Amino acid sequence: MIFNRLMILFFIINLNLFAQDDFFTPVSTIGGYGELHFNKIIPNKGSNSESLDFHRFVLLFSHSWTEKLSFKSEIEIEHNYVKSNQGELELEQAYIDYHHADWIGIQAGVLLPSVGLLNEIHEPPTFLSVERPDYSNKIIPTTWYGNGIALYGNYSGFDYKFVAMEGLNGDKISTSSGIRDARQKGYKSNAKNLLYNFRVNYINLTGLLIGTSYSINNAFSLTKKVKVNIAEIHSRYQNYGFYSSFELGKITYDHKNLKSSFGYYFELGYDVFRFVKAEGELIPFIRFSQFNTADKVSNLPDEERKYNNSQILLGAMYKPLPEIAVKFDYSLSKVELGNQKTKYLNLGIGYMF
Amino acid sequence: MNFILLFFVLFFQIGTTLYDQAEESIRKNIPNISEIKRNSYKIDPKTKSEIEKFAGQKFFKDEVVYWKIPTNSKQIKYAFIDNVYGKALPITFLVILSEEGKIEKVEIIKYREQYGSGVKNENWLSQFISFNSFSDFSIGKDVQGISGATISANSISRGVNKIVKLFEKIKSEL
Repeated sequence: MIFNRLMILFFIINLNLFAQDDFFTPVSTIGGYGELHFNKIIPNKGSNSESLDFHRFVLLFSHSWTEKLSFKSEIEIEHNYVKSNQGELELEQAYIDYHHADWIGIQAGVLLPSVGLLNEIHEPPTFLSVERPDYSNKIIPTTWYGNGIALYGNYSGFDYKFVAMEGLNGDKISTSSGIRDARQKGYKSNAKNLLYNFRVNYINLTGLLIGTSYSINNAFSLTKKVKVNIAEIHSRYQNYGFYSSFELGKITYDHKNLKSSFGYYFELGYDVFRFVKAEGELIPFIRFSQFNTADKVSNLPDEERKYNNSQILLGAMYKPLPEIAVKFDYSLSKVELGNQKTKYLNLGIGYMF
Repeated sequence: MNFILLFFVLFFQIGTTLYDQAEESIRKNIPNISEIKRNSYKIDPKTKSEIEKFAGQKFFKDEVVYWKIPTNSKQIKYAFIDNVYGKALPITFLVILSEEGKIEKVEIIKYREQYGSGVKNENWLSQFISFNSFSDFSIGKDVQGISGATISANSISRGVNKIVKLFEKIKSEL
């Protein structure tokens, strides 16, 4: 009797897993994105520097065996050329995805924790500035990836993801870079203390995405584990020609010196081509940001002011097609300690397909 | 054991096809219709290529599946079901058109990926209502984008544009 029921159960699961219809055929797909940048740095003391950099070249390979079982990957070359301490070759995503239903799916492999607006979606035409916002580098270290598993889904306008993945290296947490250098990047990662990340977004209001995430990890260390908590909120509004983003995040540490990192930015742009009915989009924008990897420090009094940056940035993005972006921006950054001011001029072209 | 079996049957919801779901949506949106019949139309290569160039997107297949729906008001409505690619997997959608080729409804019948599910939002999809083959389907103009679903939004908009253009060319043959 039990055997019969188990057979029925097995049949149902199989039927569901391999059910195909006219709207699905197993397929392999290729996508990609990339960006070329010109960066000019103009400090208030010392000489200028100028560079041309094919910052990112990314290929996305995917394969779907069934409607529910697929594989996705992302391979990235940073800075064009890989040599000792120059450039990077990274496997940023490589996971099996079982998409059971809209409300629940599971992924396992190299994947992305869901923290902030840019860690998961960062194709150049999807953000306004030439470089990613400094907040998405210093506070939330995009692209942050690692080995782990994730559950995801959406229900009634709420889009959610839970990730359990390799933790951070507590010995590499620092006042100058927060958690950036503590990422293990999937390299034979220490699996003793997993990082847990949970994010929820509300997406049912047209043009608006608003959400929050919380991540927790007891970062491993040769001496004493470092407890890390990352809390952030994010929103993006894209409607009637307006482009606006806001992110704010705080990381707290149980570290010998560093106690917290903090940052935020707000940006607002408008597609002026709507006035002239021109093809494509031209979006001038302004961004204000403030970030400090050493927001609160004990025993090292100058550090809090040394890494406290405020920035105002003006720029424009031109998109002849939704998948291609030509960008320009000019910014003034100020570091609190010594009142150091630096101007940045950036030009870029990016694409995705 | 019976309870577990029941749970799995419910959990794995089997039985309905995407055509069934589409027909259910058609009946919900066009009240009081009697039996409706599903047909398929093979697109000739020249028309296919013209529309693909215009919309900037390939058709999923050489044929499309449609319903011709007579209504009480003696108006005939048409519904098309088709696929476009999101980031890596197909998105199945339904477009209901009036006899004149005006959009009356766009609905996502099946979404298969983690990212970009914002395109299922009914408010966003309602932007296409009243569009016809002369409308501007560019994202960011008359069709607003979706934060976090750029690729899917572009795909759906182009896919709907293809159906509207195709209907304009083939309506006399349906």
